[in-house]
Amino acid sequence: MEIVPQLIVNSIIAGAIYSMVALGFNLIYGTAKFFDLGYGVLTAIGGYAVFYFSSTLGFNIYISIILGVLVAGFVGYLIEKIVYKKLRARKASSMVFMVAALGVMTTLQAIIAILFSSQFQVFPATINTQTFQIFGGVITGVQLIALTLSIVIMFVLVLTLRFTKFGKAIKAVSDDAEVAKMVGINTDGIISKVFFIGSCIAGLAGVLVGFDTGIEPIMGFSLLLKGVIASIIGGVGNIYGGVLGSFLLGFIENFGIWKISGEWKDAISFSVLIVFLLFRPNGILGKKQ
Amino acid sequence: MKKIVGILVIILVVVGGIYFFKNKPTSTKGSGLKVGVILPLTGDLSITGEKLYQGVQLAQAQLEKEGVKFVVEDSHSKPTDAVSAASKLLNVDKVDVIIGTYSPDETIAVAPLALKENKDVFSFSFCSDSFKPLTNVFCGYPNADKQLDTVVPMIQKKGIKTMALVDANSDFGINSRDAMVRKAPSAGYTVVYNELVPNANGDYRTFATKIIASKADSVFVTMDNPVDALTVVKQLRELGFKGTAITFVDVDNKNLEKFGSFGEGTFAPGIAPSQFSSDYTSMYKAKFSGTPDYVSALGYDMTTYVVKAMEENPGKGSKTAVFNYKYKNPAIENFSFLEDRTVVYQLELQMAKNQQYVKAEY
Amino acid sequence: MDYLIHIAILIGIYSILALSLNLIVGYTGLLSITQAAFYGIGAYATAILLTSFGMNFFLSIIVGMIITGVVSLAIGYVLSKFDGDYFALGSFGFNIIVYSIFLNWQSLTRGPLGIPGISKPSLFGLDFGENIIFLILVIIFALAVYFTSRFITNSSFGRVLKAIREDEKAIEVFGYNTLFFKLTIFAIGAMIASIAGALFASYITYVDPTSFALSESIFILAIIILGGLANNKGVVLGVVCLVILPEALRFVGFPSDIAAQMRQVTYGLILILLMLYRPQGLLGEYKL
Repeated sequence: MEIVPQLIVNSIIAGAIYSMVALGFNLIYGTAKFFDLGYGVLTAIGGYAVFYFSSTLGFNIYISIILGVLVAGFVGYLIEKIVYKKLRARKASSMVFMVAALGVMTTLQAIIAILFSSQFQVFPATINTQTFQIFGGVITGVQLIALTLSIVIMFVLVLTLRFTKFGKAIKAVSDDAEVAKMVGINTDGIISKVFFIGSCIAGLAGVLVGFDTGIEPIMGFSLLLKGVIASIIGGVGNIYGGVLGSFLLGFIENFGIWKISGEWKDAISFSVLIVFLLFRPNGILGKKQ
Repeated sequence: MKKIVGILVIILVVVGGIYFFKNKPTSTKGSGLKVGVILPLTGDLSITGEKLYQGVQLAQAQLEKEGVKFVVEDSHSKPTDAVSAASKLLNVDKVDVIIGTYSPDETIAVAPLALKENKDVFSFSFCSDSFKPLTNVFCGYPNADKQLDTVVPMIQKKGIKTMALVDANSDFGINSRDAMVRKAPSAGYTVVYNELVPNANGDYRTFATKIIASKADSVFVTMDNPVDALTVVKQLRELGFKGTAITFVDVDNKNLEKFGSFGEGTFAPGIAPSQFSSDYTSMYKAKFSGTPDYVSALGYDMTTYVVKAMEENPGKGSKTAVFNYKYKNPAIENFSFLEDRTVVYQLELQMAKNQQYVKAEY
Repeated sequence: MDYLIHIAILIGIYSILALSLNLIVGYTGLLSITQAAFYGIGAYATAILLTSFGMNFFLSIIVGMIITGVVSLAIGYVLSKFDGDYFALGSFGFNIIVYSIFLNWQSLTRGPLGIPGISKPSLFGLDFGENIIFLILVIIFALAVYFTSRFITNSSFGRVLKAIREDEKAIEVFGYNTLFFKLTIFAIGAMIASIAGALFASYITYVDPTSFALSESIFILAIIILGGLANNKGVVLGVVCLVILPEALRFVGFPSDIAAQMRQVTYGLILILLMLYRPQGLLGEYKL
């Protein structure tokens, strides 16, 4: 293992997970137009669902993964229907959405802790234990899968948005929900589906983190914050931006720890956020409004 | 609007009523012993709090048969709430002693309140230097220097010359780091890497990278949560670290199982499962199934020791009682308190072998 | 009884905190989620000045307020460049940065070890060690803050704040320098929060970073949203509810090991239900 290549690999691994969170978060922000602070807890739901299926019920690990991701998607879909849709119908301000999302996050995290205890858990089986060497840096099989998936998801989303009718409808709703409605697009339906897809992605991120390290009820919040920082750095609402911001954040954090002491890791990330908010609030790839 | 306020007022009145009728302050003169327990049952520290509670519950089951009353409160892992819990236990329930809490900061916050009521606090915390001036506080976990006495012989036998220190940014981590740095000259190693890491982080890869770059023979990991410490070791091994790994954590096979082959060969000072008394092992298995772990045994021993001491020395106060009492049949071999209000017991260096902790071989 | 006095002191301290945040969020419409940082600066200022320099408690409050005021002006200035959602996110960020400083600037704050042994206040030989006397001190401060808050919000200064909340662009057209007003109220709110911090430090006699993390800021926000934004009486009602609630739950036999998780569930549900059905809170006049 050589130092700089390893740091690069570490940064990429972190970036891959952050980018999944950022992708889903951005998708939701683009259509529903609010910062869903409750989004992070869906990663925990995905992870715990897989844990439940594979550990408590004894299902095969791959089936558990698929079920877990779907459970996360479904929960996200339900929350949208029960809470956010009503707020949208009332044209509530974005502050109301944010506070409601905080409420969602607090409630769901506590419920997970009641059901599964706060103990850190790992999955009973693993999907890959190999390690590989890339230009002098070590990466494990699970991490490689996470990296691949994040890129794949990014491309799938981009292609869907550009070439499918569904994707174009999403774009229309993002650009202007009122106009989209007038043109006959079922905005509520689109937003529901977007929440489902976004939440599935979050669940998948949680599952991958679970395989790499493990799960605990509060894992979602810090992942969410990283995803938010990444989105803002890269450009909110922009698919490529979220991914770019994520990898950039991964690099800043890991090289930051390398040079400055590790205790300041969080402060570094948030300082970067504030610098961007000050000087380039639309992010690197964001549109200048 | 009036309806909502009305409902709230009713709720408050009902709760207040329950409080008054359920908890009329009773004098403890002549009636049974009343024990207050404070634990972090929720919040960041709940992982350990839940384990401690298991041991306390086992002790409670036995002692309640002898007429001792227990009141258990949650500190929510916050010093302010620990103070609220202590205030309630001391002023409303009028307990004779407080057993708990778990973290040093909760304990330091609670101590003055207990002192005012002339009551002692038997904390499960490790024996931090901050406790020395608090004359009514006992601690339940030997401090770093005592634990490290078991590690030094191994370091010297194996010829370890350089060490990397990874410590959680917490009271426990800082105390451990300071102790390891103090021991270095006499034990013959040099500290080549020394970093405080954010607690409960999950991603320690870059720290691992720095450690490997420092070319240390060994790494000494102290995290508040045993699983975090093992995660650091796992990530070190994944990146190719070949040196000796020592974790300063509670020895619990259930944690090792989660890490498979990565834990193999890791040293840890502690109590092996085989050192628990057979009584305790069967008691634990009956209620919780599986083998007991060190933390729950601590919960059991602390509670039983203090309560039994007070039963045998009525009216003398918990401190005098404890110093006059010989604790028989502890769950942890040779568990006893010292004159300086710290605790001592038989620690041994353990090693992970085939996903079980066994007595270390080197 | 001492336990009730203890609860009353907590209610007093949180009332001061909530009133301070209400000035910023409720009256001016700035969604700031970083009040715990100012609470913490006040607490640490008192802690350090009392333990290392033996300063008088009341003097330390003044020093703490000055430090907090300066820091809050800096933070407020940066935050004023953002609007809406970004303001809240930026404030999150500052809370986390300040928390990191409490945790990592160990030569000053002793980091996670915290600062123990903070003495109770003393003035003209009057010893505040007795809790009932400390409670009276807290009540005096709380009343002072309450009336100051009312004075500010009823004045013409307060009217400009409300106008900023309703439509900032409109009032700018009239020539008002909104930046000045926003910064001023942000600093005032911060300084009041630091008073609460000083009281907290002296009462518990020990401070450590965990009391000033992001979750504390969220808690204070929940109090004023529940009680009612821009309504000072409502704020106190919110404090009473949310401080008494966990203590009441101690008596109402929730199985111990899920009691505080249930409290979290309750908080979360309160926030959600309020947003859905009553966004102005119990007594508030301002719908978020």
